[in-house]
Amino acid sequence: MFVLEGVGKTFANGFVALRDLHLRIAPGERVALLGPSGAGKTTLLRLLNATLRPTAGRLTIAGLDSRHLHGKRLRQVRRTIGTIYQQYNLVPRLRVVHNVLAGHLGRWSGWRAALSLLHPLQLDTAVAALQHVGLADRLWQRTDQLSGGEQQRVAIARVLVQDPAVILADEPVASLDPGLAEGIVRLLVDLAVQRQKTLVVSLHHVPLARAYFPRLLALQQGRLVYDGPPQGLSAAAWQALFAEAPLPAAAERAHVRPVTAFPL
Amino acid sequence: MRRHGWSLLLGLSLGALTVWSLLDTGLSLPALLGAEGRRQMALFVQRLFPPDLSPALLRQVGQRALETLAVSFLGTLLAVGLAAGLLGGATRTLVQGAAFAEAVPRGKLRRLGQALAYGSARALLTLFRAVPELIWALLFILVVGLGPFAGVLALGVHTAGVLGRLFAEVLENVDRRPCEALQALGASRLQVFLYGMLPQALPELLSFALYRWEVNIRAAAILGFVGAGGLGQQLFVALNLFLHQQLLTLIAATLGLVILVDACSALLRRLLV
Repeated sequence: MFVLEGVGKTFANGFVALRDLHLRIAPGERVALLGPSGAGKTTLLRLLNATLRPTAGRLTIAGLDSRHLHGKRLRQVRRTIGTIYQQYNLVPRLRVVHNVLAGHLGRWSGWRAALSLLHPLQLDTAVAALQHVGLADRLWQRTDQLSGGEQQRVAIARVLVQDPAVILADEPVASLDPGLAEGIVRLLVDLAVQRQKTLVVSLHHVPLARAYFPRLLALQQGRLVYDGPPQGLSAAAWQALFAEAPLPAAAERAHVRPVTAFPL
Repeated sequence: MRRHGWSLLLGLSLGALTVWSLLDTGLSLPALLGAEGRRQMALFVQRLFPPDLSPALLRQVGQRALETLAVSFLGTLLAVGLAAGLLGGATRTLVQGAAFAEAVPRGKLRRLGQALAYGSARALLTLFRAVPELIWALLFILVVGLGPFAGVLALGVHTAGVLGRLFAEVLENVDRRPCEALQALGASRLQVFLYGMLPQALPELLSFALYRWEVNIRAAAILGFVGAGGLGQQLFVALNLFLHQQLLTLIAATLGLVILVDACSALLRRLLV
């Protein structure tokens, strides 16, 4: 599904987020991505979902070189990759139904998309997806009225509607309380197993990763330092990995909303 | 220390500007509050009373007030339409398309085209708002003749310049993370706008449009001075013909209209925003 050959990413401000990654992820694999904050996990996921481009090396997504993806082709590739984010990244003022139906946008024309905002189209798909995540009764509620855990499940429902070949999740449980975390991870893993989807999840929580993923990747300061089964590293080794002082993550979080005042 | 120096410089400049302005405008307190000034004011106020409340005048004032209301409303509506039409070019994030994460490397020609679209849309908006409503009204009277239609066009064009810039800035500053998520699942630029940017920006856009309607009702009352219809036309006549008793009625009508629109706008804001 993904082949990385010497992939590196340096941001415009000079911050080196990833260097010289060699990696291959086969279709249907379940992979957990581990590492301290600032290790490059988010950047790697944003490369895999074709939001960013590598500044060095070669990344192929389903056999297509990401450097040569533009316009329509780029949209087609993005449609086959679903992403779940730490902060859910839903549109807060939209109703749940529209956030879930947004999963269709890769297939819908601009007209259909606009029409659906006035009169929801393919409503049955949204209902089915919300049923799957246990939120069928929230269909018409405004998204910002939901709790964090519920919003993350709405985000998963959006991926269900999108029906991609790959699901990427960037710290999907870091903003939730620990009691909810395992439920969300299990939901994602079951989904990937049942529907034969590739799953790449970045996690802070080592025990969860060891319990649910046959393959672990560990990043440290933008380098791949471990790639293998959970048994390959002792608990003490994982401890040492995370003990590393976290690097400033400024470049990774650079797309946070700026605060501005408007002159009248 | 450097900050101190700048503050001092700024303070001195402001002081100099004030002194120069005072000298240049021939401001004179004696002229305003001296014996002669006071006598003139008293005389003027005296002449306003009693206000002319004859049915014929009231009917005419009512008609003009409605005309002013219509001009301000249609003018604002036209402005929102014009501003929306230019948004695709005036909003940096919309022009660049992939700017929610990072621009896709593309040819020099494409980048030049984008810069041109953005620059010309912004320049047009600046031109629209730099020229005051009254000047636009004079220009449109030459084209469509005297009357409220010229007023609608004048308000529409000037306000489009103001709203276009404000709208573009609101849209440029929405939270980009939901937009990036939509882009990442394959949404097109238009779809990211419809599902990501517009829902986030809508309350602020509506709020700005309503505020400009409040401004425009006052502007519409003045437009009549140059012949673009409404209460202003009658105010102008009453002032010039020294019909002071009509003047009071007209001023009261204008005041009533402004209060009415402010109240409507506040109500709509509460309902919509």
